[in-house]
Amino acid sequence: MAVVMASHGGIRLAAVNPAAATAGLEPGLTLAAARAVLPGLETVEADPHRDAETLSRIADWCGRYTPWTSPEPLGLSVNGAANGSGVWLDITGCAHLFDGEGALLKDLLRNIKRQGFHARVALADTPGAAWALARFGVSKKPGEPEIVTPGGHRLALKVLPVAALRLATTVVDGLDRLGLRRIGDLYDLPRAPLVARFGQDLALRLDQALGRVAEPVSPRSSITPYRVRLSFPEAIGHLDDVAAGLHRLLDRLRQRLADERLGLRRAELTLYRVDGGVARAVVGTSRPVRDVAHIARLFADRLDKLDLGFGVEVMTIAAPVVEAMDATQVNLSHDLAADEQTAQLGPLIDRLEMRLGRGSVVRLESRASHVPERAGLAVSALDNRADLRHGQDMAPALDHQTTDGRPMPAAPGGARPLRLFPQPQVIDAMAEVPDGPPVMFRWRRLLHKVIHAEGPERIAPEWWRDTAPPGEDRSHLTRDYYRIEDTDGHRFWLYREGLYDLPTMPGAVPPPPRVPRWFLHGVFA
Amino acid sequence: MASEVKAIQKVDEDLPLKDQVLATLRAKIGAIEKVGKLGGAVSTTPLALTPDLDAILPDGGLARGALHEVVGPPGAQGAAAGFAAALMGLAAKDISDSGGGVVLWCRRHYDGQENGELYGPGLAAFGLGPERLLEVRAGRDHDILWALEEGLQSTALCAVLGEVSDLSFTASRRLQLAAEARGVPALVLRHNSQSHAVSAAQTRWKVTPATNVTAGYDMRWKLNLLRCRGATADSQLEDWQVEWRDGRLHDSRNRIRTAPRRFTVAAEAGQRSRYPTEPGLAV
Repeated sequence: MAVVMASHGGIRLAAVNPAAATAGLEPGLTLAAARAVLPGLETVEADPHRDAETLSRIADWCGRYTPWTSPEPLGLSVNGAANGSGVWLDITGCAHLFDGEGALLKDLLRNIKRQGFHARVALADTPGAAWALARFGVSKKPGEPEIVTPGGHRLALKVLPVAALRLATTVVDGLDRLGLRRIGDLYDLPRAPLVARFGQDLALRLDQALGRVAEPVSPRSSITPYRVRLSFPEAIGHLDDVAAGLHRLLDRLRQRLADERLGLRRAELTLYRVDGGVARAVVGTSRPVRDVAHIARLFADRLDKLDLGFGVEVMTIAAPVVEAMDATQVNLSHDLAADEQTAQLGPLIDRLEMRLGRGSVVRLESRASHVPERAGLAVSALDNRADLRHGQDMAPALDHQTTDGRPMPAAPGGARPLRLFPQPQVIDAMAEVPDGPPVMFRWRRLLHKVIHAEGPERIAPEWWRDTAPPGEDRSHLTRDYYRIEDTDGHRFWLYREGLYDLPTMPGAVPPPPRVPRWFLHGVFA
Repeated sequence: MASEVKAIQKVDEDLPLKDQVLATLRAKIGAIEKVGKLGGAVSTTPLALTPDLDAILPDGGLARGALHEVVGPPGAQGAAAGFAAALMGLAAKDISDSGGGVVLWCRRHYDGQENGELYGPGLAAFGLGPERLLEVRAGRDHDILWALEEGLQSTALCAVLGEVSDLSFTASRRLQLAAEARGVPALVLRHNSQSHAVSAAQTRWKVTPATNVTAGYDMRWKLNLLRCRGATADSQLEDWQVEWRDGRLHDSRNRIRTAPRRFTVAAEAGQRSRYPTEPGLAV
C-alpha cells in the first residue's frame, strides 16, 4: 500500500508501508513506475492537513508524560516523508515518575502501538541526536527504544548516515559524492571548506546534533509550573471517579499554591483517554482562589460534557494563571457574618458566569454625570478594575458618601426611572404649546393620554466631552425631560429633542422651523 | 402544675452568676455557629410591609423563606417592577444594618432592549445601590430559574428576583423549597402572563399603577393579593394602595386624591432641574 500525492511531473508516492518497501518501492517514485513494479498496489490520497492534525493530537496525548511536547514542523522532514514526522518530548525531570527513562519510553511505545501507530522512539541529550537515532538508529531489537547514555551521543551518531542530520537532499547527495557517508566522517573535517561548499545549514545541524548549539523546542501549549498529575492503574470510565480524582488533584494543587501564597485564576483539567484522545475543560475565577470545593464545583458543570471514551488513564490539572493570595485574617469583630457573605459572593459570581457566559453578571454603577445614559453604567461583576480600564473616558464612579461621610445627595432633579431604554424610543407626541409637555402620545401603537406632566428638566450635552468643533450649533442635542402619567396611571419619562426658540440675532435670517422629535426614554416604577 | 412552674421559676432566679454567664456565652456561641448554615445575618422574622398589609398576612409580614410572585397586567411593567424592587429593597435593608446585603436580579438579555435596562440611579431610590445589587443576564427562562436556585444556595444573598415569562408548578416548588431551606425570599416577576396558574408560591401579588398620583415622587401602586397561603378568605377580595416613601412602604388608602390636573407649569428658569415638592407650591 502507498500514499500518493500529486506533484509536478505526475502523481508520486509520498509514503509506503513495509510490504511495499520490501517490494522495492520508495517515496518519490512516480505512481506509474510503482505500478510497473507492483501491479496490485493499493493507493490512498495523501492529506497533509489531516496528517498535521493527527500529529498534533499525538503531541497532545504525549502530554501525559511531560508538559513539554511539540509536534515537529512539517517542513523539517526534508528527506521526504519516508522518515515520517515526529513529536518532540522534553522529559527533563519527568522520568522518575515512570521509574526511569527506559520504563517511560517502553510505556510510550506500548501505548502508541495500541492506538495503531508504528513508532520509533529515541532518547538523547540533544533534539538533533534524538531525531537521528529515532529514524536511522540500529537498535538491537526492532520496537525497542534507542537510549543514548548522557554524553554518548557523539559516539552514537558516528555510524549514522549523514541524512540523519536533517539535511536537504541535495546536500546529502553532494556529501555522498565526496565519500562522506557517515556523520563520523564530518567530525574532523575543517569547517570552512564544508560551509563554503554546502552552506551554513550543514554546520548548524551538526552542531545542533552534537549539542554545541542550543536548539530550543517550543512546547505546544504554554508550560505552567503549577501542574499536578494523577495516573490510574486501570482506566476509569465513571464520572464519579473522575470527580474523585479531580478532588485529589485539586487538594495537591492547593497545597502547592498555599505554600507559595498564590491563588489560581484559571484551571485546566486534561483527561488522557485510553484511545489516545484528550479531553479538556477550563474554568476561570473572579479572584484568586485555592478553595478545593469551589474549583471542583466550577468543574462539575463541565465534567458531564467531557467525552470519556473508553476510559481515562491519566488526568492533570494545571493553573496557567495564578495571582498572589495571602491568607486572610479572620475578623474577630462582630462583623463575622458580613465577612462570610462577601467571601461567598465571588464563588457565586464564578458559578453564574461559568454557566451563563462571560459578562452575564453585572453591577450597576453610578457615575457623576447629568446625561441619563451616562449616569448609570453596567460593569461586569468580575471586573473590579473597570474604572481603571476605561481611564479618563468615563466619568468617575460615584461614591455613595461624600468625603465628609454624609450620603450623596439624590440625583439632580429628583426621581429617575426604574428602567431606561438603551435607545430612546421614538414616539408620536402632540403638545398643546410648542415648548410644553405633550397631551397625548403614541408608543408601540398604543395611544396614551397624558393626565399629568411635570417638567421640563433641561439636560444639555456635556460640552467638555463633546468632540464637535467649537462654534457649531449643538442646541439640537439639548433635551427637555418630562415626567408623564397617562390615564392608566403608567408613568413615563419623555423628552423633546432640541430647543424650540433659538435666539436669533436681529437682522439675521431666522432658521427654518424644526419639527420637534419626541422620545420615550424610561419607565417609572 | 402551677407549683412546678413556680419551682422552675425559683430555680431560674436562684441560678448563680456563673451559670448565667455560661448561658449567655452559649447563646453567643450558638449565634456564631449558625453563621455557616444560614449566612448569619438572615433573620427569621418576616418582612414588615405596611400595618394594613401585615395585618392580613398570616405571618404578620411577608414570610422570608418563601417564594412570592409579583404579576403585572400587560403594559404595567413599571408598577410591578417597582413593587418588586421595593420588596427587594426592604429585604436588603434589613440585612444591611449588620453588613452587606446583596440581592440578585435575573433577567433576559433582550429584556433590556424590549422593556428597558435596569437603571442604577432609579434603583438607588429603593435602596438598591451598586453595592447591593447584582444583575444577571441570561438567555432563557430556564437559565434564569437555574440562576435563582444557585443564588438561593449561596449564603451571600439576602433576596433573589427573576423576571420570567412563565413559571411551571415544578419550577415554583423547587424555588419555594430552596427559599425555605435558606430562609431568604425569592421573588418571581411575571408580565403578560396568566395570573391564575397554579404555583407553590406563598403569595401572589397583582400590581397595577395607582392613578391620579399627586405631584411628588412617591411611587404608588394598587395591590391585589391574588393568593396567599394561610390567609383568611376575605383578604383576597381587598385591594390596597401603597406607596414607597422615605425608604419604606406606606398605606395610602385614605389619602385624599387631589383633582386631576393637566400639568404643572415649569419652575423658574434658574431652578429648572428642581421640581416643586408639594403640588400647591408650583408657580
